[in-house]
Amino acid sequence: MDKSLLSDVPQVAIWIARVVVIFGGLVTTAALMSLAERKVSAWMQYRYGPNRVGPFGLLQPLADGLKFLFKEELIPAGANKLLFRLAPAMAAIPSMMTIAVIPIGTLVIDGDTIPLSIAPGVDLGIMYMLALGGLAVYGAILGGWASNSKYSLMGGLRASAQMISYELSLILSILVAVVLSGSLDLTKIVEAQSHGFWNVFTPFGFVAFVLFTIASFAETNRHPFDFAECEPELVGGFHTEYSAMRFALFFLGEYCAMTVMACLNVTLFLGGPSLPFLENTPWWLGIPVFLLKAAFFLFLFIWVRWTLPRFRFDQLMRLGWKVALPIALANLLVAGAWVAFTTKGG
Amino acid sequence: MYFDYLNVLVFASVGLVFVFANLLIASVLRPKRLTDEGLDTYECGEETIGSAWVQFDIRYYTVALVYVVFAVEIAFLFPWALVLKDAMANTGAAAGLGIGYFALAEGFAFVAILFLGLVYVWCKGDLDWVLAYEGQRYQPKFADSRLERVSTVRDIEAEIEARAKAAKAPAPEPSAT
Repeated sequence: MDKSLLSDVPQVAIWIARVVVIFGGLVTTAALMSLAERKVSAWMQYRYGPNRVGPFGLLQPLADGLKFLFKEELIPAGANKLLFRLAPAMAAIPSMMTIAVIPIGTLVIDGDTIPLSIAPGVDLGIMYMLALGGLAVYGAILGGWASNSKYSLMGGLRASAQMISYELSLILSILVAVVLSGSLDLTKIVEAQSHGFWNVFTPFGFVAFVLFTIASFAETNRHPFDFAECEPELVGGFHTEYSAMRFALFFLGEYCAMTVMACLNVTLFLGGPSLPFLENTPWWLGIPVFLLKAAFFLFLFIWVRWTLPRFRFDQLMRLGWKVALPIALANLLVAGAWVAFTTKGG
Repeated sequence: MYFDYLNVLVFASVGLVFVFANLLIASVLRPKRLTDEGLDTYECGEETIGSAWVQFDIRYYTVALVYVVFAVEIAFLFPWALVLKDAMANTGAAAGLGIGYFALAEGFAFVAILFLGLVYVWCKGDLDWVLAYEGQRYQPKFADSRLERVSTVRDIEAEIEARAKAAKAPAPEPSAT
């Protein structure tokens, strides 16, 4: 066979198909997460949860979306109108964009390999993710400040303080994966783990994995660190004053950020689309395996939310600065030393 | 590779279009029946008192400042983490330089300095969230910072009062140890 099935298909069409699949998948996951959150919490509390719209309530996110579209939007008279309008977009867009460099797996169609990732060759992948992930703070603090409401301001301040505090241990635990594979390219990090030996199997890899998981909860403002919302004391936190579509964007941003964090965790420490202890994972198994692993972390987000009580703010700060940060620093050094003493040559 | 950066740019515009299209559709579809009550800032059903744009706790600012210091320093660890393997194997970007163990030691020295910075802010009490005003400056409430013992502002006030009282009272006899 001298001509493969895909040789007549223009590259642009393949690229558009990839964007549609990944972007659509991300938004759908976020929508389904909003349903899963209510369903799982209902099961954990011995209730039914939403079950009226569609089979098992599966169309509930669609109904919610329609409702968001038709709801009146209120902008408080005292608010800073420009920043108030801008903040939800600032929260939603960066968290959706970070999915671009995650390698979800590869498709092999008739001998042609198509990486299922929007930008598989970006050699600064991790830098890109951290740069955009850092922008998410602006959504929270601008939304909180621009509302001119006391609850919003408190929520915004807390959210930003906690996001920046945990970003340090997040970055340091990511650096462990970088040291182990010697690359900032997520595709190369996955390749380094693709022979069945995941980063999490090393002791420092495991510590980094645990730190990353904890930090990802704090970064996305999830329980047990959800001081940004903290319903009993702050009503709704930084989005108290938001309604209709702009509120939906904050929501979308939060769930997209969770999805990306789950994917990044799988990519950095759990081998991405590979199986453990196998020399080679067949390509058709890669994508389901990746999605299953990511789904586990998404479930973990919900599971923890309905299991653990909320921290106190001083406890959060203490854990972030006095426990996680020193451990992460020491852990990086141990990983560096291990790499240095096991690398041959020189 | 540069094609991939272009991909990212185009993908970003997809996200922008998605978000603003949603906002546009919503702005066409939704009703606009604004009332003065509806435009009030939410304050548990009470009438709003004053603006929220007031001074907030200085500690948020301190945390942000400490973060900036650490974030900038950690940014310098990226190149180190990236080339360490190459430096040890004498390949890739570090080929022929022979900086192997020197590179490792540099990393250790750098992180040690970072760690000193952490120790400094720790000792200054900037990492403690619950502080008591004592003398001329804020200080960590408890030297051992055991959190079980720290709870409310009222506790702190009571503690300050108790100490003020103790300072006024005649010094007790030093006990033999």
